[in-house]
Amino acid sequence: MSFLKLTHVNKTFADMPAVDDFNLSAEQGEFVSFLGPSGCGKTTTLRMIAGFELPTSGKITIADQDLTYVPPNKRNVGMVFQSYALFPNMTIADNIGYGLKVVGKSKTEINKRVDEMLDLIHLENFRERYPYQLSGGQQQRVALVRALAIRPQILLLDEPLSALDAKIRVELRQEIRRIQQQLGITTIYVTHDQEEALSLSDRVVVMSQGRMEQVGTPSEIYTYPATEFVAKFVGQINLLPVDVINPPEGLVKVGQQPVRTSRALNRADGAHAVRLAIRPEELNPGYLEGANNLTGKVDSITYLGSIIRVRIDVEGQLISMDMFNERKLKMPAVGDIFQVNFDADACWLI
Amino acid sequence: MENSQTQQVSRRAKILDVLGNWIGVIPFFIFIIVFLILPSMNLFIGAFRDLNGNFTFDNIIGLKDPAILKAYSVSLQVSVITSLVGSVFGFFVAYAITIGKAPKWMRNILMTFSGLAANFGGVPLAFAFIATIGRTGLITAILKNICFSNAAGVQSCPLDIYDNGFTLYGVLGLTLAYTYFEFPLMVLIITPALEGLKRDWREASDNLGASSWQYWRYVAFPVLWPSILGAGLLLFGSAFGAYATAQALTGGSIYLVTILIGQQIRGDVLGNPNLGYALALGMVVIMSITITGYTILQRRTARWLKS
Ligand SMILES: Nc1ncnc2c1ncn2[C@@H]1O[C@H](COP(=O)(O)OP(=O)(O)OP(=O)(O)O)[C@@H](O)[C@H]1O
Ligand SMILES: [Mg+2]
Repeated sequence: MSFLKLTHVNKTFADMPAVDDFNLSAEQGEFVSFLGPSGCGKTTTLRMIAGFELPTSGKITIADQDLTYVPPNKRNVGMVFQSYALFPNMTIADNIGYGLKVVGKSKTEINKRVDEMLDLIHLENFRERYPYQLSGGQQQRVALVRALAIRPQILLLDEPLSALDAKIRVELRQEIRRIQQQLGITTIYVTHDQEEALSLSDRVVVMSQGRMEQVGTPSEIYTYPATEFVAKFVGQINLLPVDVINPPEGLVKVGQQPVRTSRALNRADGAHAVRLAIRPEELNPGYLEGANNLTGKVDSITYLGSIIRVRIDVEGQLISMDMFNERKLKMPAVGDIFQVNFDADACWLI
Repeated sequence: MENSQTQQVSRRAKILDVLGNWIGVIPFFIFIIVFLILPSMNLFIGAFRDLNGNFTFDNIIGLKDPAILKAYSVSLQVSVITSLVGSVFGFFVAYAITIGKAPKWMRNILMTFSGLAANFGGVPLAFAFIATIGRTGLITAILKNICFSNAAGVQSCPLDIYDNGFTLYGVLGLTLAYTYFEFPLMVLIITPALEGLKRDWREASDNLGASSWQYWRYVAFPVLWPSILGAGLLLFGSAFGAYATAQALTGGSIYLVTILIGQQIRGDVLGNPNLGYALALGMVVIMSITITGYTILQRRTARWLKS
């Protein structure tokens, strides 16, 4: 039985559809990310779950309880904002205890819960400080446990890390995941950072222009993108126009060079432009008997730290290949003739 | 030898540097000295002198005169009432055009009006009021002519305000006139403060289960409190120090401290400028107490603000 359920949820702002037929079932304790570019409707969907926006149509239930039109302060749903949104006039303890105080919990009970929460984020010594005396990362941790202090049914996070710098971001996202698993709380996490979504989530919802493009585990999303949008948005990808030679066998041509894919074509009716999709890291340098091989000229070489990206011009098509940056690597020079090989399993047609 | 020479040169450069930094504010300091410090000292010294220039406490003791105490009390009353009324009205208007859902054009109109009205004072303001709700004012005349006759054929004109005890030329009229510039002043000052309330705070509060009232009680109001207090003080000060409006409206028939000071200093036979100075000193003391109180309160409520 699914815990959080969105059924045919739509939202239009002044005739502009922001969310279009959104359907999702999340299990108890599941961590689901909404991933998509700016303006695709992630925040709007989250705000409908929190009750800050009303759906134009559709239904939202939590534990079989219809919450679609319940006001936000009666939902028992915890939300963490991008801006932290800590109350500046209250100490950290008062911030965390706020949700308990407003429902009339006793002082001792509030204190106990505040201690538990501070313990969870290891900020026991910051009890009596004010938000402005904390760093951004610390403030966001406080905001997280403030939302959790009321024991919400689900936890919502709207790009909680995007105001922080890269290092803290990685640290804090692991902390969020740890706390989430420790409490077993159903969580919806909005982000436009694919690395965050892939590394944190049980499942990822990829969105574009208000629509759900694909729902799946991080590995499904990355390995088998359902649409061109997902393939391009999640990770790096080469998309090469091909001529179809034999649809059932998945045989195509890149320029004049044959390529075999292990999956049969589903759209090989010739009317659509068919393209070969392959991730840069699936390409290997050199010729390999029995694999797909392509020959071209080195167009550019880019150092990305642990990875080196080589662009190869194959009959007018640019293909990227990623290699680990190892000392023993013999690098080609720009303009060299260069061969790459890849498995039939590694590529697919879309 | 050479060393000391370079030292001298560098010292001269330093002096020039400092001069360069300060030269721009010199006119300001001259202005302050001539028009604030010197008059204040003159006022302070004058309050402790008799007409022959001898030191005396008579002027200060003279403040205990019942007529003078009454003037202070009226001045305080008018200032407190108008600043309270202005604050409350101004707050709600500012609320409507920021957090409330008032349309944008209304916001623009109200802000422009407030900018004008807050600076409208003195004699023109008094005459504007006289022309509208004075004894022969436009509104007065219109209201006066709204009459009904009952079944017995007896005419009654319930809206004839002067028949019903209203007069513009007393404390009530003064309060009305002061409110006219106080409430837009409040709108101008408090609107930015209300705009500073983040939508996220409201939503976080809702999200944590708080009611609207609880949000205002625990978050919005404490955050706004220093601004409201400051604005209220400014309103109080502007009413407390106003002179021309009251003089023009009531012809000096109502005893405010400022009018009393005017009478003492104007230099007619009855006037005693030194008593005038003492009266002014009293006002300075009252304003100082108010500002000190404000500073203490403000510090206490805003200790969480980044300094
Ligand atoms: N209150 C509103 N009034 C009108 N249009 C809105 C409103 N809120 C959002 N929209 C529109 O709805 C669409 C989706 O917005 P939303 O904020 O959900 O995007 P998002 O995916 O969260 O983007 P981002 O990554 O930039 O936060 C956008 O086109 C936006 O302009
Ligand atoms: Mg957003």
